[in-house]
Amino acid sequence: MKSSVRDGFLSFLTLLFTMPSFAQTNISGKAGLIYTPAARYTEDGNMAFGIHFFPGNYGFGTDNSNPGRVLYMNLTVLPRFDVNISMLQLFSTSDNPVKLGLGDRQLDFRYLVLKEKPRRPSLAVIVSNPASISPTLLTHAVVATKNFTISKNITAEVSAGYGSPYHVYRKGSTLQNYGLFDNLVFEKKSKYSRHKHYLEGPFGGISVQFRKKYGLMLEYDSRNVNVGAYAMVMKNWIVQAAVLNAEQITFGTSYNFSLLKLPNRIRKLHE
Amino acid sequence: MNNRTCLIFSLLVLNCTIRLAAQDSEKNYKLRNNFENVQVDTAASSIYYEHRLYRNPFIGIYEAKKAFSDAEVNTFIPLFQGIPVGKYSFGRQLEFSPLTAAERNNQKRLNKFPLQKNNYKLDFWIQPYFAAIFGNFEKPVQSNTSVAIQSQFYILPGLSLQAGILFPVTNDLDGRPKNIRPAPVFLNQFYASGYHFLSASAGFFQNDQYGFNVQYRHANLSSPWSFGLETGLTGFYYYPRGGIYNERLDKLLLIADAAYRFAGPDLTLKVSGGHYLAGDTGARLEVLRQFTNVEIGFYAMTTTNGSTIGFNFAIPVPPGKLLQGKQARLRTTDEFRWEYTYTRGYRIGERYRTGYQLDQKLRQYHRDYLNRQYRQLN
Repeated sequence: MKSSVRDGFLSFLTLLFTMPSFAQTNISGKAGLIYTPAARYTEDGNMAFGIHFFPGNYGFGTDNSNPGRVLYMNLTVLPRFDVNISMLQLFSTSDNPVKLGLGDRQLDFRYLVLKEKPRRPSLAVIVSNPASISPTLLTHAVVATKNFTISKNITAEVSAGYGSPYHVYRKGSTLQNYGLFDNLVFEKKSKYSRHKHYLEGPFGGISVQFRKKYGLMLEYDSRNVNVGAYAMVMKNWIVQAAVLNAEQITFGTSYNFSLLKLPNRIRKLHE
Repeated sequence: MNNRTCLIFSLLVLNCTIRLAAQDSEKNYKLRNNFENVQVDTAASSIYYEHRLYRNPFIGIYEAKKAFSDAEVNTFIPLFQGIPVGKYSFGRQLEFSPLTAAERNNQKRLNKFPLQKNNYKLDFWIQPYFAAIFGNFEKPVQSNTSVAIQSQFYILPGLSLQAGILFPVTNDLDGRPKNIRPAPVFLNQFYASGYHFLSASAGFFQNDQYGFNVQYRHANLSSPWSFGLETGLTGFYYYPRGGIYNERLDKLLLIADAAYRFAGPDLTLKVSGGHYLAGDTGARLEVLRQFTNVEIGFYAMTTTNGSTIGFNFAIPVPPGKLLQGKQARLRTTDEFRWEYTYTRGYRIGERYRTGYQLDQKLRQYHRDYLNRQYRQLN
């Protein structure tokens, strides 16, 4: 009995490690689906970078509804701990010309409190650095994720989470140079007049993966239902696209690699 | 098999073996050409070598093991500016031990004058420089970017002269002219004995300070703790068109630090404090991780000028070797460092760079960092 439990656990571990440690990322570059994050396990030392485009009606501009993009870089800097650096840039339209600097820089942290076990989902806490002046893309959420093997070629990843209705951000002007802790406020998201309700309340989603190469996604992002797909076009390279609220589309891509891999020249010499 | 087929067969086999051996020796020759100042001590079955191509010294150690496999050595002693750093040997783990005074003296006797004659190449490398501030609406990225061709001439064991030519690309940071000018020019003396390491520099540093800088570090490269002390006296300089402008030599840098290294994740926690360039005093807490070829750090700092946070990284610039002969080499830099500071304009804990920082250099030779890579091979 004991050994069968152990064997089951071992085969589960094998499954976990043979699954690609990289997969689709959400709008801000975190492991996730379309707009929602997940508590997906990422290998220590994994680095991902990429870009996501969002449409105007489901965008993050604070004083308009312009489309835009998010450039991001994500690093699993310690086992279980990710740091995400992103830059949100709006596109100027003829209706709404915008003049931005470099864009709004954001820094998010994700900690995997629980790792997935056969009978337990993984659990992650995601918190954004509060130094942002336009807090529309901040993530303050708790999320749980569980993987299921449906058949030899099909796996499913189910996530459910809750986004805090409160946020911490810097109440100020982009024209001023602030000290580290100046003007930080803790308030209800809805008190912020240009809020976009991003991840405010319960959210969840499912991703079904075929042959570890293609996948379909369905999510509720606390406002809308979104449907999308992704594919691994080359080793380590993923493209994805989705329809938001059956109305507008979003698309993006991510490339990842490991910073802990041995240098190629050593591996070649070793062979 | 009759005699004839047997003969043909053996000739074929022989031919193949010779070809393989030829390929092997050609590969070995190429590998060996990466090394400089190679000395094999057959009595101690150890090999001394300098390998300047990569910031990850494990590549050098492992290439030495492969390239000099016929020399039957099992102790590898990398040199830095002609000075042995430590002894490494492959067992179940990668073992480290410091050199004894007798071993250092023995090695010294083989040195010529100038040291460059000890089978060193004329080593030229391409070094990018990039300093920037962000967030100006009119001009989102204001930067001072340049590319330099730099080189280093070895005079005495540990003593090198670094110089180069710097080609400016952009400068909308400080209003100084974009003229082609000398890259940092300075003398550096590296010294090692037991667990004591010293780096002393004099000259014109990156970006705009000239003067003196001395760094001392107590570091057992197989134990978690290390301690350092750094002091410098410098003044501001830059190159206006057709000359050099400099201010008085009156800026004091005085920093003490203690660092603890967690072996598992190759994570270093470093606390430092003292007197910084802008005359402010304060402290800095830094957490950094050594990945295989890349180092990434986060820091928080508070001085009498204010508080800030930021991150920094060190990466090698690919592809490394560009042209390499027996006497000379052109490569991309083994290390490009950059630091992002969240708060700008307040001059919090500023400093300057003197080629390499002793603590950054030494932690790359830490046994545990190299050992993780060795374990990954097995």
